[in-house]
Amino acid sequence: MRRIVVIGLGGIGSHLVEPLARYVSGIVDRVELHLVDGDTYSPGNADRQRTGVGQQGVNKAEAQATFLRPQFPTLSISARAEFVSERNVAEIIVEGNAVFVGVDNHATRKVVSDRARRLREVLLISAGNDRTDGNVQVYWRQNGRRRTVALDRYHPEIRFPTDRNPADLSCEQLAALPGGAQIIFTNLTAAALALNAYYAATAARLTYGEVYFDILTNRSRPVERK
Amino acid sequence: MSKITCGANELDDSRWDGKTIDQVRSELGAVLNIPENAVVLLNGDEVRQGSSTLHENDELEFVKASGEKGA
Repeated sequence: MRRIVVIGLGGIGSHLVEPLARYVSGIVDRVELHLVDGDTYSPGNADRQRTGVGQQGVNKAEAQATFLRPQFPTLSISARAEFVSERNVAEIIVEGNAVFVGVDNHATRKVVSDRARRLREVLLISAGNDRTDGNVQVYWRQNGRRRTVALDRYHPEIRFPTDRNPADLSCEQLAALPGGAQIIFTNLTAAALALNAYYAATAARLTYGEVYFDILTNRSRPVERK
Repeated sequence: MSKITCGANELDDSRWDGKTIDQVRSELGAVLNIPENAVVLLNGDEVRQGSSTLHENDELEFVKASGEKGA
């Protein structure tokens, strides 16, 4: 069974997961879609994050699983209501997984990238944005060799993150975190580019390790990394 | 004609040929929004010497930091 993990079901993840489910349900038999997020939907998310009716206060991974299961009965959809950390990443990401990451901190990206380094087969697609621009990175390993570079290879902000993993914060600290101004169109662009990278990789046509985008200029620039 | 890139932005112009990396950073920092601590790649290879000079057909990238948000 092919296993696809989606970490983060907020601004990027909530827009990415339904077209992903729709795509894989149509072409692949026996896919497990595993959704992971420790956060819950709040009224403040409504301007950016795709949620169903009555999902305020519900864990994001569980809410999306509940929403998707009836639509895609051929998929095995599971949810894990936790933030990814060094304590649980080895259970969440295993050999052969495709992994989408749409989180809001580099500390988690670092944990996920380090886990991927230890695997022989993994396709890791990490998307992130600021207000009107962002990027998608692809870390792809096959037969124990990297085909693209790790997330932190040219990104010291990921290698030495100054933010904190939500898994290490108390409820009070989490509640006090600044949300950061984001725009739904930026999130949507990041989600679309992440899905494009997934398609390209699974079609054996991926030619880049990173793609930058800017919604103001409507430009995207793929980059091949050594 | 050399190419200067940062994030989604790119500039192709022969005016950068013969300039040093530091000169390019100084002149284009605001235009391309070049982060102060950006990793610098010359034709895909990391360089630490700002005194390196651009030649025709070189590609100089100031690696833009990854977008942080998304959740």
